[in-house]
Parts: sequence; structure tokens; C-alpha cells
Amino acid sequence: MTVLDITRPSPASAITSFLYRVDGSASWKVGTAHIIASVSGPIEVNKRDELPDVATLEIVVRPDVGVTSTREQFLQDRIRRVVAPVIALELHPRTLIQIVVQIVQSGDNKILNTISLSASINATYMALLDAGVPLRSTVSATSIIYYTTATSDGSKTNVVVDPTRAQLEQIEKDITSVHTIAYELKGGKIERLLLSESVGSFTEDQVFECYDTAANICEETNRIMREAITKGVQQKSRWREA
Amino acid sequence: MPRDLTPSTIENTFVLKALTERTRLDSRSFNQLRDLDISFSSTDYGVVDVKLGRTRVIARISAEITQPYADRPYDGLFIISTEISPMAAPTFEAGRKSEDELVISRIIEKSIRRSGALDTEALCIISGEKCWAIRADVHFLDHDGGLMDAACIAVSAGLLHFRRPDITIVGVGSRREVILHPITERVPVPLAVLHVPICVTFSFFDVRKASAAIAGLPGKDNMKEADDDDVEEENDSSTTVLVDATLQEELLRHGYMSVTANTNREICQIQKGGDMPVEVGKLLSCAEAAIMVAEKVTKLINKRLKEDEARRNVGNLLVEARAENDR
Repeated sequence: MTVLDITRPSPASAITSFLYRVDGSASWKVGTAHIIASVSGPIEVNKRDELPDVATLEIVVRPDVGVTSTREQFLQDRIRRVVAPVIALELHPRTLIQIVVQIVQSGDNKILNTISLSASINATYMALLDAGVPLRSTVSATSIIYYTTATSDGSKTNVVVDPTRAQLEQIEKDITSVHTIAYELKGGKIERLLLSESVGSFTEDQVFECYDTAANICEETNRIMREAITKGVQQKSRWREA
Repeated sequence: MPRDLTPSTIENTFVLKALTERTRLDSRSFNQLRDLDISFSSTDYGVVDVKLGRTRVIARISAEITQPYADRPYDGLFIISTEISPMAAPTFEAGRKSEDELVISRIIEKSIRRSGALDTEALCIISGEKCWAIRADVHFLDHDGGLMDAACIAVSAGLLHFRRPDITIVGVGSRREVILHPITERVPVPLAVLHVPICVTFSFFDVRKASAAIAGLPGKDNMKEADDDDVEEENDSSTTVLVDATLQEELLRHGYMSVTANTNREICQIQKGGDMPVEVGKLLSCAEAAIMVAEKVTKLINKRLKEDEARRNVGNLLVEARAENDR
């Protein structure tokens, strides 16, 4: 059980409550990725989409460039798998919770989806918080990429977390596996694993290494989120100080 | 959230009454634009974030190499996508085009594509075989009126900001190859933008109709409105014209006109909609006002482009790359 002593090459940052027509909004930036998520809910639902005992969850993912493709469908599906168990849908039956994820800058190259996915999950979670949708726990996600570099006596395996696009371009041809991991946290500590998407060729040890490394990164992400939310709430409550 | 944005009667009468008293809810004058903020991404070219009051729009410009249309072998492609998602307002449905969306996309098409703002002949690489396809994706983040104005500004600014990768053609005849140089290897090339179209929307209110709506309501102040001639004397007519309406004003207007103009004092397109006839004099002065707005906005875009250039060229590397002599 090895935990890699590794940090993000560039810090993550978040802003909330900047859109006026929706109930909650969040902007998540990490590396070169920039995702904006908005949440409206609980709101009125179409009769045909109405569910009698839980809220209907609608997630729309819009790409940064080009028409909507199967990539957005994939992102939508994975975000749903992470977020649906965390929202207390049973508290608002026969309503709609509408989440829109707008990818402003994906941070990925043409083949990968990992950075868009982890950044989208983080942005979505913060937007849900901002909208005041009842949630069971905290969520955070991260991307871990394994790649090889040639050394004098063979090749060495390296790991990078949430790389920038420049770094991705550098290591592109040597990537061996890509892991997107999302954890549920309570009280700032890891509770359960919500998502584990791994693509490429990797060993069992590497996967467990990922889980442990991601646990640390996700706890740090959680701290960044708390700071952003604290600032947001202070901003919104400033009328009280007068 | 109701599936339609109609404001309540109280809101209606409040806004219209304020208009008959020459006041807008945000205290702007009738021909004043909201605060306009244009910012560019510091990491990528062709990413523009435009804020017009509370309306917020992001445009992304991207380029790809593709085959030109068979009937236009010397022209590249230029596509503008203006899909509105429920993020702008929950009344927009994902995947379904609302009426507003159709109007907006038509006006943007006319303003930017049909007016030839982007020189598509300059996008040709090998005639009939390879050309650049430039794509402008507009993302509407927040709807507070003026979506097409903001979108037009965003796409125009984006086209000026964007840099496409440089290419070299090697070989001759059928064995020609196009080498695409990544932007890390060779300085990317700007697009051939012939003019900068800026769209301005004017909203028309029929003062008599508005006064009638208010006069019908109880309240001693309202009784005065019926014989208050001040507004008509000032206006010389019963039409009130507002520039850059907020969403609330947009929903209440009786008619509108979108004028797209550029700094060459040219009108690129005019679209008049709604059910209200307006005197020609008023329309001409609107067109004149649109040109002044176009000049102001183009100045702001150029200012922001310069600031962005300065930020990217810390160390003045690009200045050294010029071939001009100092004298």
C-alpha cells in the first residue's frame, strides 16, 4: 500500500454563485481545464419525466468546441453515477433537478476524457452545494496518469496528477494508463469510493496505489472547496455585518 | 421554474410606468449600454468571455483542416453554433430549438458570416482539396437580455483574438503535402478579419399603449397619466426607444430592431421584429446610434486585445520577431 508523495502541478480554484438565472453555479479550474456547472432545482418537471417517489435528475453536458457527441454522453453517464447516490432525491419527489455542465476548456487531448470528467464532477458538486440541494456527503474527484520515460537502464514509470495540457502533450505518446477516481468524504475524510475509471494497461498494485494517492488529493480538493464556499457564504452574508 | 418567463402584472405595470416617467429600473439613460466587460483566456487563443450587464456569453473559436465544398473550391468553411442550454435560463430545453434561439442564430449568421467579416478565401490551402474550417461555438451562460448583442461581440472579438497553426505546403502537383506546425514550434497566424460587426438591439415601447395599461389600474397617481403630455412633447412621438434592454424590458417591449454595424459606418444587417410600426426617422436615428456603439465597442475590444498581447509577450519576444527596422 504505497501512497505517492505527489502534488498537483498547478493549484485548483473555484468560484460559486455567479450566474443569476439558475439556483446554483460553480466554476472549477485546474491546470488548463475550466468547467462551469449550473444547478436548478427542485423545479417543475415534465409530466412524462415525473417520478412518483424521487426527484428526476437531468444532466446536460455541453462541449467546449464542436457538436455534442458520444463523449458528452459518456461524461453525463459517469457524472450521474457519482452524483445520483449523493443527492437526497427522495426528499423532492415529482420535481426536477437540472444540472448543466459547460466545458469551457477541457484540459484533455483528443483521446482522453479524464480531466474533463474529474473537473466536471468537482464543478457539479460545488454547484449543487451552491443551489442548496440536499446532499448526503461531500464529493471530490481527481485524475491520475501513469506514463513511462526512458532512462539509461530501461524505462521508469512516472505518475502525474491533474496535468496541464502542456504536460499532457509532452507525455502523450508514453501514457500507459489513465485513472479517474471520485471519493465521497465526510468531515473532510474519505468514506467511500464513488467512481473508479481506469483505461490502459496497469498492474493491480498501481490501481491500489492510485486509490491511496487519490484519497490524499481528494482530501486536499475538499479543503479547497471548503475555502471557496466559506468565501462565497461570507460574501453573501455581508449585509448582516452592517 | 415555469416553462415560460412571462413577468407578473405588477412587474409589467411598474416597468412601463417608470418608462412613462423617463426612468429605467437600473437608472440608465434610454440610450446607454450596460457595463461591457471583455476578457480573453491567458492560456488559449480564441476563448472570449463577454459580460453585458448580467448577460454572460463565452465564445470559442477553433480551426480544423477539411475538404472545401465542391461548388466553392477556393473558399474555406466558417460555421457558427449558437445552441442555448438550460444554463442560460431553465426555460430553454436541451436539444430543442426555441423561437428565440432561431432568431438569434439567424441574426448572428447575417451579422458575421453573411457580411463577410471573415475572409473565407484566405482559408483556402489547396484549392478543391484542403481548406481551413473555422468554427465559432457560442455558449450562453446567463440570460438577462441582449443575447445576440453579446454573442456578436464575443464572436467578433474571438475571431480577432484567435491564432491558427501555421502551415507549409511542400511538393508539387498530386504529391503535395501540407505540414501543420504545432503552435509550440511556429508562431500561430491570425485570421483575415475584414471588419468587426457589432450588433445593437433597440427595443420599442408604445407609450400610449403603456399609459392605457396603467390608467386602467386603481390609484390616484395613475389618473394623471391620461392627460400628461410631457412624454409626447419630449419624444415628438409616442415611441420610446431603449438601447440594450435587460430581460425584463425585452419581455415587455412592443417591438425591436437589431442593427449590426461596424467602424466603417456600414450597416451589416437590420432585423425589425415585433408588432409595432415605427416612424422612419426613429429607425434612421437608431441606425446612427448603432454606428456610435459599434465604434465604442470596437475600441474596447482592441484595447483588451492589446492588454492580452502585452500579458502574453512578457519579454517582448514577438516584438523581436518583426522584420521592420526601427526607422
